[in-house]
Amino acid sequence: MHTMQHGLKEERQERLYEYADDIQFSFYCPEIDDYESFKTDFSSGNSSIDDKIYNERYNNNFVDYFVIDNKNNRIIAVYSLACSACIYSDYGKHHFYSAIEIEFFAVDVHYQDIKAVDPDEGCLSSIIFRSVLSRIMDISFEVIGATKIILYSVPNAVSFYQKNGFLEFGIDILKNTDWYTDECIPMYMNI
Amino acid sequence: MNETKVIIIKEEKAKEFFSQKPNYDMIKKIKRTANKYAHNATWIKGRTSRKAI
Repeated sequence: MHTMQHGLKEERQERLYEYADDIQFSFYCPEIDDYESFKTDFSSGNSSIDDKIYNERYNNNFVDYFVIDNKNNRIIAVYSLACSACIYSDYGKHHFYSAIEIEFFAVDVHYQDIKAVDPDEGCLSSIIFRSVLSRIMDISFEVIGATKIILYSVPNAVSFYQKNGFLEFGIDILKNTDWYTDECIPMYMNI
Repeated sequence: MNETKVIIIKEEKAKEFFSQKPNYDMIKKIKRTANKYAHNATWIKGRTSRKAI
């Protein structure tokens, strides 16, 4: 374990770029063969999330997107989107509110913490995440309506999502029962 | 059914929760960042995903 952590630190020290502004990237839906390079080359630093993304590659409940570095074709980030819903019960009646769920959002360790030239923009992860949010908003305004964007955050990523406009629910909810949400915190953004 | 993506909210204050307005300042911020870096980002259309196979 110690060796793995040490290795991770060394990987982090290998800086590919000085600033996020220098990176040109592309978003696309991967084909099934693309997941082999994901498995061998991508590491978010959380192997259980990486394994989950790989193992769910045939799952039609959501669509995966790869964010690729145009310069070297490395996978910068992976995220998945799904239709979802928030439901509440009121005296036996159920009210449905449409939502779009970000199933996964993971950034490769080599691309984490690469700062933007403008400190207000944060880092590359924020830039990519905000591009994704903007895309989701466009979809919800033009294609399929949704009132909220929801996600389940791992505990150490909550502050990242808060900085990008997400709030914890703050009311009693029943979580999605998928295993990966057991320790995760449900968050939302009104759109 | 184990993949059903629902959040069930039991409390009365759920009504208040669902009537919340978006944080337009934050949305503007997000849009501004996305637009600012739009020249860095390419959205590839027309690629066949596994869903279509």
